Amino acid sequence: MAKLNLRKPTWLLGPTEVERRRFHNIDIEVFLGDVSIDSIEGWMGNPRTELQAEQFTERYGRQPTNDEMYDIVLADNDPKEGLKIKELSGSIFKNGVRVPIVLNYERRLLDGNRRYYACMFLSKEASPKEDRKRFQRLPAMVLPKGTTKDVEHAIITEFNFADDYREEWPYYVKATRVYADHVAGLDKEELEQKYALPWRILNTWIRAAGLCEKFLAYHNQNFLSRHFAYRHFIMFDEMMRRYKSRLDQADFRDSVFDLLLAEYPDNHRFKSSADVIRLPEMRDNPESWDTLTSKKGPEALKSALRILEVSTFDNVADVNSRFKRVVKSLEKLVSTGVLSAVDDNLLEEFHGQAEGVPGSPQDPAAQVEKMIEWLDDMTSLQIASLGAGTLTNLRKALERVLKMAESITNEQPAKRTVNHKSKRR
Amino acid sequence: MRVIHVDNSPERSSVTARTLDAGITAYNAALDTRQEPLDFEVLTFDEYDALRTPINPDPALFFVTVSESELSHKNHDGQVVACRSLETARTIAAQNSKGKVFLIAVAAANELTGIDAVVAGLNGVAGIIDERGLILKEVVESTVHHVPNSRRRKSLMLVGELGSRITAMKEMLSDWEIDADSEPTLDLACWRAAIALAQLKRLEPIITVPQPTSYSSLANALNLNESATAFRLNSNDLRRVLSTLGRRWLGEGHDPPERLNLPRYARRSGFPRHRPVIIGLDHLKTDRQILSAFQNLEIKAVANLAGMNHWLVYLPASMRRQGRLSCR
Repeated sequence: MAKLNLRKPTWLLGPTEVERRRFHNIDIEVFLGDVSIDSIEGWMGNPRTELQAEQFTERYGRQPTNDEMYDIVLADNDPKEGLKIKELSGSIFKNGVRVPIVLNYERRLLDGNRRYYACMFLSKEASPKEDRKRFQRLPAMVLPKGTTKDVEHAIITEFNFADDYREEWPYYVKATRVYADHVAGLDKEELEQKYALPWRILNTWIRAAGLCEKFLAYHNQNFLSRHFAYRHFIMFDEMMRRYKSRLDQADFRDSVFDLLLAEYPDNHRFKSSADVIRLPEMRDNPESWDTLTSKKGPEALKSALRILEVSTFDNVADVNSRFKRVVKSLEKLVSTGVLSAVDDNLLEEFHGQAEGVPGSPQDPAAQVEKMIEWLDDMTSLQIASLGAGTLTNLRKALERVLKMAESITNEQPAKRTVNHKSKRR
Repeated sequence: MRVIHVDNSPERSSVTARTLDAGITAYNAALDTRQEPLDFEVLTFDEYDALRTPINPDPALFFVTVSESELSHKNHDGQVVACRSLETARTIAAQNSKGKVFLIAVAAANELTGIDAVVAGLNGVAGIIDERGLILKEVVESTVHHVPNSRRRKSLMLVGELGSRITAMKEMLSDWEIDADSEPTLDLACWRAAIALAQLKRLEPIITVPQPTSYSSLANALNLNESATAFRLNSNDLRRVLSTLGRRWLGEGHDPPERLNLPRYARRSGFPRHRPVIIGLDHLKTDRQILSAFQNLEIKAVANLAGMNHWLVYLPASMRRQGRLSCR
């Protein structure tokens, strides 16, 4: 353990303790005490809020002030991946700050940005006036003077990459951070050591971030492309896992990049990472691709996938499995009662085709079978109620059919083996 | 009669000064012997600032070249102040009660909007002349005969396209007034939001919000730009205001990402890129005063002077003195 100056920081309030803590395989003595929120500022270089700070800097040519940063982080209230400062402040209001924030000796905040802003929110506006004072100081862990930057980085990493941590940085933030280190020249071992994650995972992130960077460059880093990348970074991961080599082809890659952002965010086609899995197949199927690009919204993807399904199905050799799928679709259509809306010409075409299907209701043998089934299904009461005229007509009709069949084939019709159910009551 | 041109360059070295000189020479040549000719001189802004006492005797006409690309900016104290030429014009108007101050709009510089023109009028300017019109003796003659103030009204003389910009803005406000789908209580807020939007390059919510094109996110984004626009409104009202502006400028069936371009639409609708400044009024009162001026002004096309439109804009004389007028 390195020799450090263990003189207590003068700005630390209340009783102070010194404790030994272990961060990322490094033992270090730290001070534990309270700190006034007025004596520190939010962490400007925090990767979690770096994007928003960058956006501000790009707009105004200067870094946001601490108050402006406060407004910005408070607005980041996405229930899924936002900073959720207001929610956290609710918990702090009830329970206080349970985990101390981490500061270096120069009062730079290394961990606890959300707790800091939540306390600021409570002390400025969110709590009753009589309570505000108690949120003006919060527990802090302070690194001793002389702690190296490496150790500071290790602590930041530990708090935000370790599995057991609360609001982890979003995937985009973590991956781009690893990617930046990779681009800066850190090798496999160094990255594994820094982030305490296996190369298998880090490499996946690096590859996804690489693709994401190409996507952003393709769209000139415009706002919507950055927004898409931040919220749907997982799609770049999925694409690199599934068809990395295909993405090396510029025309395919560019067409995918165009499509990912088309009608984004209100009516875009891809909602989850699963939606991009079959893009290469669609690109290779002109009809499917045309549907995907000409329609809008999730429906475009559904239709394109349907076309892909049908064409895939056309190539299946086994007639029974192909026919099974037709019957299944037909069943679905009949059961949902939508067929009344089908176009007349389409119906005619369908029945025309159905005539060619063996065993169809138009097949004379099937019709006779059906008639026999009807006759066999008749109850004794029904048969008793048949008048003499009806029975004569039935006999005559049967005799006519038999005679005609004999004269055409010139032979006795073969006795049919009928396997119909006998349901006499 | 003295004519002083306050310009960026000394003597008659700039194109603007030479053009005005030619116009004045043509005007003088057409005078008969009983009429007083114009005596033309050029001062740089620095030379004008260095004058310790007001010019004596009071010159009849001042021309001030407006060539800045930013018509206002923040000073070291964070206050929005007018650019040098507009500030000089306002000072001259205040110091020389008998003189008339005309702005010369230089075509290559930032395009003055109708709002900038009306604000200039409220700041005591007598008229705005497009640089190209200075060559015409008819234009010079109009500036000589123009009467900017009467007991009942102020008159702003415009030569060039500014008149049609003011007309377009006034028509837009009339359309807003008959917009049945809008809430009349939000009219002033719509106006102020439009002025704020026009000052932004883009309206971008913070990158992490889930629905960046929702009016709620955009309202948040506009409020986050308060340091640049000096405008803030509660989120709920601002959401409704932006939705109203979106419907008016982008149409009912627009693509939501187009809303990120609301600043561009605001500028296209005639709102200025740089916040207009009326001396002595804060931003809220300035916005209110300009809206009131547009609601009350009358505009009249006077003539076509060799291809240049000549307009007169009448503002109620009480406007500036009263400080603020009631707005709907």
